[in-house]
Amino acid sequence: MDINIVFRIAAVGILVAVLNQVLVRAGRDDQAMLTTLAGLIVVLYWIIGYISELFGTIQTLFRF
Amino acid sequence: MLIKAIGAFIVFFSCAACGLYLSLKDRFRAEELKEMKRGLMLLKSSIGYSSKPLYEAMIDISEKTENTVSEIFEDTGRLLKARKASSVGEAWRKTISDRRSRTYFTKNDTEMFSAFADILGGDDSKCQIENIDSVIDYIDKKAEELMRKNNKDARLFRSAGVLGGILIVVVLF
Repeated sequence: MDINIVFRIAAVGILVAVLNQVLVRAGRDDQAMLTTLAGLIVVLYWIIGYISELFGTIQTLFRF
Repeated sequence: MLIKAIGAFIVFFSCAACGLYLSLKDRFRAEELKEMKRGLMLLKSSIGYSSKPLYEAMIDISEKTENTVSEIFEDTGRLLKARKASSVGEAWRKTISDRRSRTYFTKNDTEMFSAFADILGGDDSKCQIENIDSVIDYIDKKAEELMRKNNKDARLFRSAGVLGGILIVVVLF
């Protein structure tokens, strides 16, 4: 697994959190929620492969 | 790697510039509306206190106003002088629609200005002055509304532009 993905997820998390705060302060709660959702979807898209790999590994661990 | 970095740089600065433009757009519109108000007030005093023909008054106003508003008054005055329009309303509407892409006026603004021109040059001076007053009221209301909106949204657009740019760079890099 590439360690860069961890830093990228952290960066997206920080940026989305700041953007969310800026939008909430401006009274645009809907857009704030959409931004958070977009961030979540992007991060999930990145890690979906790793999650699938993890499930595969667990499956092989319990298959005797 | 260098091309990637240059691309990231361009994306970031484009997003920041978009944010900055959006934050300034309302202010530009308010300034243009104020300039139009100035022009209309000059037109009002011309109608009330001088006996100049309308085209001459409009060309005079174009010299005293700035930017696109000046061009609108000048073009309308020239159209009327050259008798290329059948009425003041037609000349004004034609100029406004020609200059629309170069101004920050919205559709509502241009509709208001077009409606105002229909009465211009047709009725008695008192009616015309009242008509100009109603447009000035509209401008005052809109300018105040825009300044209030701008105070609230300007920081948001600037921050969102910069943060959005960084976000895209992080996601794509």
